[in-house]
Amino acid sequence: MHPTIRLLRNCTLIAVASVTAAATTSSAAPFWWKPRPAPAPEEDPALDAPSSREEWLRAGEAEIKKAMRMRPVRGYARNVILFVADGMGVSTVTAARILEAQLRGEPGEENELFFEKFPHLALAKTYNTNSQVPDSAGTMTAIVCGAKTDIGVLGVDQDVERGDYTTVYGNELTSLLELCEIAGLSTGVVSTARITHATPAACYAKSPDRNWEDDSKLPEEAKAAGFMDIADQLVHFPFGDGIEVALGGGRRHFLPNTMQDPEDEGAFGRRTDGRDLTREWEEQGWRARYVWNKAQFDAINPRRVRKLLGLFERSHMEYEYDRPTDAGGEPSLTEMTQKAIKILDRNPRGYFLMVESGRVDHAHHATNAYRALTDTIEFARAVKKAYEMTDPRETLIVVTADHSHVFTIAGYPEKGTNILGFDPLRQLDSNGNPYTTLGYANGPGYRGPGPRPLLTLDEVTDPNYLQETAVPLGSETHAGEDVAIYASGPYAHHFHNTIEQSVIFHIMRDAMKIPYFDLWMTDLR
Amino acid sequence: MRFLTNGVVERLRAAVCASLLAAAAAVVASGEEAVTPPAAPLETVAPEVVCLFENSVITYARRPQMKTSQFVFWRTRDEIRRQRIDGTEANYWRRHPDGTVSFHRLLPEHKRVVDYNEGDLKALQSLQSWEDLATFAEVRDLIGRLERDGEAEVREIGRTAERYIGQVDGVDIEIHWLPEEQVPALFRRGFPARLVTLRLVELATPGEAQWQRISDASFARYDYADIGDFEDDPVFGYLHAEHEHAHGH
Repeated sequence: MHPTIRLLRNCTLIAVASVTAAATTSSAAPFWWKPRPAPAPEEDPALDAPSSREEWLRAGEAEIKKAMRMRPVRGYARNVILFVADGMGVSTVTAARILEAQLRGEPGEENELFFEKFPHLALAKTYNTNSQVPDSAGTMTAIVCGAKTDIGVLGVDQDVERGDYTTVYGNELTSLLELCEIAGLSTGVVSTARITHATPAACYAKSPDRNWEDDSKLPEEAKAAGFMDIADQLVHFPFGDGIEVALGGGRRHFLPNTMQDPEDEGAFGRRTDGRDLTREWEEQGWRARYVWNKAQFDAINPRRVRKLLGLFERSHMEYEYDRPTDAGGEPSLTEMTQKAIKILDRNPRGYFLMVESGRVDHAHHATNAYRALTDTIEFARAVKKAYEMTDPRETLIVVTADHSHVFTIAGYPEKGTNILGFDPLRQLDSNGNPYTTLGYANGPGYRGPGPRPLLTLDEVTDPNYLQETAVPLGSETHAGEDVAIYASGPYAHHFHNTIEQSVIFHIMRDAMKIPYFDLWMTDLR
Repeated sequence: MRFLTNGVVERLRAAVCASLLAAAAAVVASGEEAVTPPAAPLETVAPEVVCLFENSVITYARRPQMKTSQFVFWRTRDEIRRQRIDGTEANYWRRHPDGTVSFHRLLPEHKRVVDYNEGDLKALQSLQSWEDLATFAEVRDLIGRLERDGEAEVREIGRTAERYIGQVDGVDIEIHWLPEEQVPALFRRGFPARLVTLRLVELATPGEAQWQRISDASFARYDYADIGDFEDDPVFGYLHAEHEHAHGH
């Protein structure tokens, strides 16, 4: 072959190979490249409500055939997206699936939230090492760091004394987010709670107390020793090139107490050290941006931004039901998830993203089932958006909760009864008064000590209604039963049985083929 | 390139520069912070007053018991405050320039304050309109269901008040209402097992009042939404166990 022709041939082959590699590892594929479409989740024929024994039997056989077609996804997980709905126990999932369908005018019971279609399922034991009923800090530390720990601490093991910063050193756990940054992946945390709150903070912070969200909460001796508060640890994350995306609430922990909040007139930041951490975030480079409202968020072009910090409320973001009335405008959990994926996916090595629906928990603490369930429905929408934006052959999506709540579905209402209401014929107490299907074992919805009120459907189906509770408490408590884990993608089949919550970390890490090693060999500073 | 005369080149150059400038302006504009228009001034729904109330509960039994407490009620244009006379408890509602409302519960002994924003109040079924908060809505609603019975003398302030009496849902009620100040001089309810009386002891304007409001400027602030996470906190532990709700009683 003539040398010139050989050279032309080789150049052409190299060019085609390069473009092919770029197209499969980056979202910026040439216009003429059409990658093989990812398989969609199988539609469940059983959702069309069987109405006869023959249909039930056929639906059962269809499930067998679907199970026989199941195969583990080959290959490793380039990306992992961990979805956590704070406080979303199994009863919450059940009630939310019914409400989601009933809001569409359907009976409800046959419905499935999107993530319930995922092929692999396990149960997780949620206890903390010192508490039978856990909190978010200890449970999320287990999920992202691989070891169970005490209630109320973040990113550290059970040998830490709560509130004692001196016991942190030498007891730090390594989180999956840290391992990913070291491996050159991009990382992000998204939450409808404060971004410095327990669940997102467990991904990136080490703290003997979950409440040390800014320096005003640090004990004086910890401050004097240079211990970093949680917000500071987020902005000055020490591994890799830092966290790429952080979206949520908690603006007040990033602004000094001398700076007025841009949204809430008369309100100020909480920091006492005079630092504006939002400005320090933007000082990371010309492609690091900070936004605080929806208009700014919408204007962000994922192709032009390398790092994005979004703080949309001084404290927690609004419940999904109340979000349309927010003064400054807030993106939804789905919109934040979408933006985060678009930014993170530009890294050809892949990414780790944690998305939290943080206020299911708060609504349950208030015994307001409507807000808890509508936030869960929005959470399912966010999972669906993530699934649609990613390739399930290379993205492991894990959906779970950190713990449950004492939320119950009770009585014998007729099928199709409004999940927020009651069956007036079948749900009557000893005095002949109706009681609602949904309730709580404890909390502020207690109506005693006098006789129970006479309920009306209009009253109990109002979004502001507080479900009745058996035990009076100012705030409803967490529950200690297992929570579900739903998984799709590479290594999702490793989620099976009843497992310790800390095993979730190991499955995710193994799926990404990232070796484990202890990063915390030196002082935090 | 002959067709590109000097004039065409100049026009092309001008067009490119204009488009670059427009693109730059668009980039700058997209990064500008949204300008929030100034909120309209909020109306005053009731005159500013400071009242000292006495609340007494007589429990009927073989040996009747009476418990009495006093609290100060402040009402200004944007704040409604209740504070025990001994300073052990206080809470206030605040109206913000954008019209939203927040509630704040002070724990003076522990120098802490719990903040409830509108979302928390809605989730607790406790959100009320500013007018209802400022004008004793519960009392006004009951007045609408009672009979006017002339005037009543309010010796404590040397004035007369509108007197209303009657029975509502099996409860004997008597109200002495000061329409100018929009406050009750007397609010008495007779339940089967107890008698509850709210009585106005002193009335003043904010400038004349002798009582000092407890300042929470140095208090540690906590969101109500986070109280559920303080199950082992020695201070909030009792708050966690304490049952408070807004169901009209």
